Amino acid sequence: MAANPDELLHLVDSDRIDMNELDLTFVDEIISEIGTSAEKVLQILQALQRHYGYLPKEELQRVCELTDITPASIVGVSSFYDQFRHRPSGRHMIRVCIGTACHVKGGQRVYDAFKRYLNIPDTEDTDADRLFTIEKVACLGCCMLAPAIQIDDVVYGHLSGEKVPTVLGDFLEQQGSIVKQSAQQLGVKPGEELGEIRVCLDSSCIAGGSAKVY
Amino acid sequence: MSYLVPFVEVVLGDGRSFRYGMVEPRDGRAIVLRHFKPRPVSRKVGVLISSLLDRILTDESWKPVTRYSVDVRDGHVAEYMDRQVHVATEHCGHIDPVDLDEYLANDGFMALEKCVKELNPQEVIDQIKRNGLRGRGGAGFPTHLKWSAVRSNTAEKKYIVCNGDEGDPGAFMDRMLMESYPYRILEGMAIAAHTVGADEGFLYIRAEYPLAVRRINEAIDKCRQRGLLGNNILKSNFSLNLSVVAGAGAFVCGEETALMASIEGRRGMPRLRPPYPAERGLWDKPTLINNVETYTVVPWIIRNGAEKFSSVGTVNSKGMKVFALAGKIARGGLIEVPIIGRSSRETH
Repeated sequence: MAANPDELLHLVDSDRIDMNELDLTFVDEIISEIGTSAEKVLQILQALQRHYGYLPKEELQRVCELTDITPASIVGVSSFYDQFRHRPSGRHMIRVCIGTACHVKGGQRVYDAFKRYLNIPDTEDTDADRLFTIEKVACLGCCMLAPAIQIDDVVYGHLSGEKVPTVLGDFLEQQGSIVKQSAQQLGVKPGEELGEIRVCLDSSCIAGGSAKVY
Repeated sequence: MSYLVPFVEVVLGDGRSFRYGMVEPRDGRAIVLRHFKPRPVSRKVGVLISSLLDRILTDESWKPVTRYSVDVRDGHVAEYMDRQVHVATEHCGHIDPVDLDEYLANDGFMALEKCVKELNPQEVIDQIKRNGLRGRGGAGFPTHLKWSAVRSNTAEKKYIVCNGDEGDPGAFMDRMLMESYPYRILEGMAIAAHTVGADEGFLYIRAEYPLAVRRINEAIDKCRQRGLLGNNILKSNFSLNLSVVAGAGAFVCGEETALMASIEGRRGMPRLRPPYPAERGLWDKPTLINNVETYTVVPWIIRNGAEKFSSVGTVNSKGMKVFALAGKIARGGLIEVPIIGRSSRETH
């Protein structure tokens, strides 16, 4: 039989700050959806990461109980991949790109500016209100918009220290509604096509604001 | 032309097209009204009044929407657009990425149908060989050799993998292809899988490309519903099940052996080769791994046949390649051009 999971999992620094009651039903659902074989460990951890914002210790133990995944595998995989956190994160994730193009255009300065504005101490990565967690990532693939950042799934480009408050304000505002214009307002008869309006919707265009244009 | 984002093109019923760059949301209405006049009289009056009120009541000085116009005759635009040859980016700017009907209407899946119903696998490999396709991930290994190696392996179970873990700093070609042409990638993979004898596959996509992950997943679902993926594709004996595996933030997983370790749920540690993936890959089975762009050009090569792809390029590097322009330059973006010995100065 494998070693006591507790002994191995204590190596994973996952202090729970939010002391809500344990809700393991999510873990059970995820496992029944993804599977129990050992190779599913990455997918399961990713699902937990997405839901909780980090990997809570009790949930990881539950995973070991219900699947063929060993504690050693969890420690090995979760410590290898940058995406996994062992400490709770804020509600939103700010990823500052420090890939080559962003680096030469001052990505580090943007990162420092965010930390200063959100009053995040050097040893921490989350603000006091637990609203934003900040981290550095490798290339986001929006290099012509350098320096670029990603807050949750939203990309912002051409950042600078001065733009930090605007970007954060815009992001929080955007969490609201999206307005759509319907063809009916132009008096278009059904089946009739006046023409086509094409709006580019790939990540760089969306970072430039094309989703709002659409 | 990413330096002009957000980019909008208006195509009228008679085919004339007008382009606008660096558009802002508030200009949307002005652009629409410039080209499309409201029909009912009441609506016309309503629009006129609200435009008047906007001008009187807001502080914003009204600039004509024509300042955004992008004319293809402008020097920088012409240079950007003219020398491009669209193969991986065929129908660029014309089709909705996740609209399967639009893709089918533009020769979509015709190449797959040809491979499944007319050509035999060796003929497909010969065509790839004659076209001189080399891996577009950067290593440039001759694609036909890789496909032959997997095909000639007698194992019953084989896998196919698409390497979408574009980690090269400054590179975003694969991101664009995955977000904009998901069906083309799936078609290329299906052609490859049919040729080498794989019935299961994975697209490994970086965690930093969430839009690409969503669009590829949506495309796979739609293909399954239409019998273009899954069991008995196009009512033949060929079956292929594809799924997306998202990366988890490890740069090294762009290397094929580390990538396969990641799919298997292990730490992404590269291993020595030989054995190559074609011999022993995922779960020790023969595996074909190619880059996103390599799969994207395969349908075009099959449809346009023989030597068209290899009619451009250098002696050793045939065909077109998508390049990313980024960093401290005036006009960033993506271009697809023939591989020619050309100085970077020319690409501005």
